[in-house]
Amino acid sequence: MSEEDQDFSDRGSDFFSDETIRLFLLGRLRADERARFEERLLLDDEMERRVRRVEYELADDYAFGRLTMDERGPFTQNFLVTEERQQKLAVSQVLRKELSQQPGSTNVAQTRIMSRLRGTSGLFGFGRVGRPALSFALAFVALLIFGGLVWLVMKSPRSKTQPAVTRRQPVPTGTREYAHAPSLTPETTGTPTPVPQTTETSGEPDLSPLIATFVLPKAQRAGGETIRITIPPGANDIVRLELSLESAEAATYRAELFTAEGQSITVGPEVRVSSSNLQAKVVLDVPARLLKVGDYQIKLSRTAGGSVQDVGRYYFRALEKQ
Amino acid sequence: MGECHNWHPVVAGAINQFSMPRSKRSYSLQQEDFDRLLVWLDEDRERAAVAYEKVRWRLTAIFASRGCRVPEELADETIDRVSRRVADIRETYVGDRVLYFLGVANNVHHEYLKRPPLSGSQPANDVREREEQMHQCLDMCLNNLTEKSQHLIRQYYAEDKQAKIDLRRRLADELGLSLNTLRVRALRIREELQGCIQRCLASRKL
Repeated sequence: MSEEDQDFSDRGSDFFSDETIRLFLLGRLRADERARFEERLLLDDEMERRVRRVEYELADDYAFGRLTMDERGPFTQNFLVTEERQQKLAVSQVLRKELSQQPGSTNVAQTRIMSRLRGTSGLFGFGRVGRPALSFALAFVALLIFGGLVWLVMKSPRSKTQPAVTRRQPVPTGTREYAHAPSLTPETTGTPTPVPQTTETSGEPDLSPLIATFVLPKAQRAGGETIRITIPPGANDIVRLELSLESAEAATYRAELFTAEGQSITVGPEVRVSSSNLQAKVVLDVPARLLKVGDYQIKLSRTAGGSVQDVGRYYFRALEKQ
Repeated sequence: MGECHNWHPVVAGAINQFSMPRSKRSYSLQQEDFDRLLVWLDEDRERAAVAYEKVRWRLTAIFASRGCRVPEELADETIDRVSRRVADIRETYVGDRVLYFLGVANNVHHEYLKRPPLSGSQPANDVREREEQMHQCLDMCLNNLTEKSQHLIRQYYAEDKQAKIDLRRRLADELGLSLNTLRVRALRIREELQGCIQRCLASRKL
């Protein structure tokens, strides 16, 4: 049996589980158990391999915020006391920032590329390893590409009255209808759609927020692909989530946005839907600044006849703009 | 003993580690004590050096688990004391030699507990620059992995908390592996990345 296939869950009284190893690393073993464990560790190569593996997992758990409050203290006091373990934690933290899709982690690759374009750290670090000519050449190419993108944006008819590097459009004025017939704007599930501009501009630089609209279907019991939305970059931008109602009943609807962990982000206004509206939708506007990369859910409820009923859930994954 | 570069890398590493000045050492261990220790651990020089590294790592883990703030230093102190005792015990000692280190470690630990508590903070590092370098090294090291390993490690670290469990179960199913096998493989890749990143960072300091 290969090492990978070995099951370490139940091997008799002389065996130490991975949980025990974890307790050892956190300094939380009982004295009698600790003595046996230490002896085994000194004698057994396989034990050392397992301890090293749990070290990685412990560092990952800390970096990914998975340790309990009880564990965090012992982690810093008993675990993080060697340079090797500190280096492991440093790599775990980098892995979290680079690979994790949890809320709070940023698109590090994009951030680093942008900082390089601003010249803060040298493009791809080549300047640091003694290749300044290559660094400048790559920076020049990146500048050309960036300039080309800006030129394309400038050419676009929608942006003629707006600053070159933005695609911001004025917020539609007037009262919004939250439950309405299918919008006239082109909609595809999971893609952002700037709202058509209908108001006049004064010719001054337009700093109005962008509204990115996404249509969310109701969650299916049998699973299905998670809708992905792109968070617009502006602090004042809006993510407009249109919740499809499979069958509208005359009621007052309300949508509330939660993180995957159940933390409430925002609650939409109450929306009155009439039974004659066969293609009703409930719209929830969320300030982009409230969204971070990660999974979210919307709970839709309705009030009818004095009682509140759960209508359904809508799930999506927020991603940063590439 | 000869120049270090003539030795097997593991042996050279052990010797270098032993020879590095340690500010807390109160006694300058003689080279012959160290040689005697290696022979006592194993008559083969290379195997002895490997055994030395293992003992040092394990003692460090033990001291750290016991709440000692300077586990590496205490591990070195333990090894130094054993080295000085080998001449006296090598003819008469019976039993697993590695366990002798544990007995000495207990004494070292008791003395450590009587010391005044350590104070002072770690020196501040240029965190941002180091983090930037680490990201660059991680990018390079990820690209050095096979496509299969890249996919595995990216998926393995993609989620956290409850979603992590579901994702890893799906990943294990996708790859036709048990959860434990997936875990072991991912940790092997993780270990590979760790080594690669550390080498990358070290090369940037040169």
